[in-house]
Amino acid sequence: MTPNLELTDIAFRRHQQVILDSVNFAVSPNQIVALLGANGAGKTTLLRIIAGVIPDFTGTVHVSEQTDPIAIKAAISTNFDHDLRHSHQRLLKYAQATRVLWPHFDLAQFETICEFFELSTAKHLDELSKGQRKQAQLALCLANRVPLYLLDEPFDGLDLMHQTQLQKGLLQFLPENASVLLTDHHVESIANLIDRVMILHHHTIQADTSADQIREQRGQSISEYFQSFYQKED
Amino acid sequence: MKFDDRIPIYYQIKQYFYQQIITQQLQPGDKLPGVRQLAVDLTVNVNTIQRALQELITEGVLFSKRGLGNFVTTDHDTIKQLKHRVVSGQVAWYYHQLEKLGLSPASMQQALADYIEEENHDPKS
Repeated sequence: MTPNLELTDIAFRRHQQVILDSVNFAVSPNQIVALLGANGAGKTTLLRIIAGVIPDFTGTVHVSEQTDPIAIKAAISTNFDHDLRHSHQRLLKYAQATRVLWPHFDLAQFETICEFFELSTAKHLDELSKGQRKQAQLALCLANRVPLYLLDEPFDGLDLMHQTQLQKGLLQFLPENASVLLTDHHVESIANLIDRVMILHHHTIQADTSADQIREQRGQSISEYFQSFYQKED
Repeated sequence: MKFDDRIPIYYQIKQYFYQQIITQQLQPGDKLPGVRQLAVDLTVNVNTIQRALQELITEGVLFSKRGLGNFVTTDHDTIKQLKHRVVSGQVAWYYHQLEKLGLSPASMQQALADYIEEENHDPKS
């Protein structure tokens, strides 16, 4: 199957400093891939490059075999498009306005996902708790029916119960054949969810392997494997 | 379900189904939930569920009906063998643990007999 995402020789500098260099990988349909790395490794930058938010990089981004920035934008959904903190709008109104911007946004699907999260769409955005905001962001993101989802720390700062509920929502409502690329600080909390791990370190992808292969061949947890990249240097 | 992150998840899912079948919570001929439903129930990605189910099908523990889903085998011999395989696997693990402690086969038998005695006569509070 053709990959939903393919990166070729991605490089990016900020103020003369190398942030990313020679980043190459592809993500197949149905994969949920974790992009792991220390703070400041460039995970969020890489997601933003793929999403087209940062334009001045070199290399090629293919999303569903397309390279045209407008086509790419229409084929990607992210959770960082929706800040939601600085508006008094009701959630439903916000979603209705969002629908105009995203050609593949499905409002009925959005309402179904909110129902799954037991999140009232009549709520005002600035009255959402942190957990509810994460729910709303994921619901907006998943209601956009596209091949590629970019999730930047979608479960960050939530208790275990809310994390599990969001993960179940993701698994339930992910479109058939879609791919997910996600980042998270807390490797343990996403260990079940992912089927592949990439480690971004020294500006590039240092490791790219299946999650169960790490467990099977090394007898390590994903978290131990991740930490081993940093211990080597001590 | 709580997973041990040092053991492949697909393997743990297989063990989970073995247990369900051996304890008859899943009966011969029972239909399993769909792949996505299992993924949501266990909070595991779809590929991992698929790998576990595929191996169970290859082992003959499950069978797949095109377009209808996956079912528990109705072959009682297969289930009997499965039970035997899972039980001996557990016993083998404990055997090797006790062997590492330097116990002789006779002391192992004694230790197990003593343990069973204690478990059944001394009600846990």
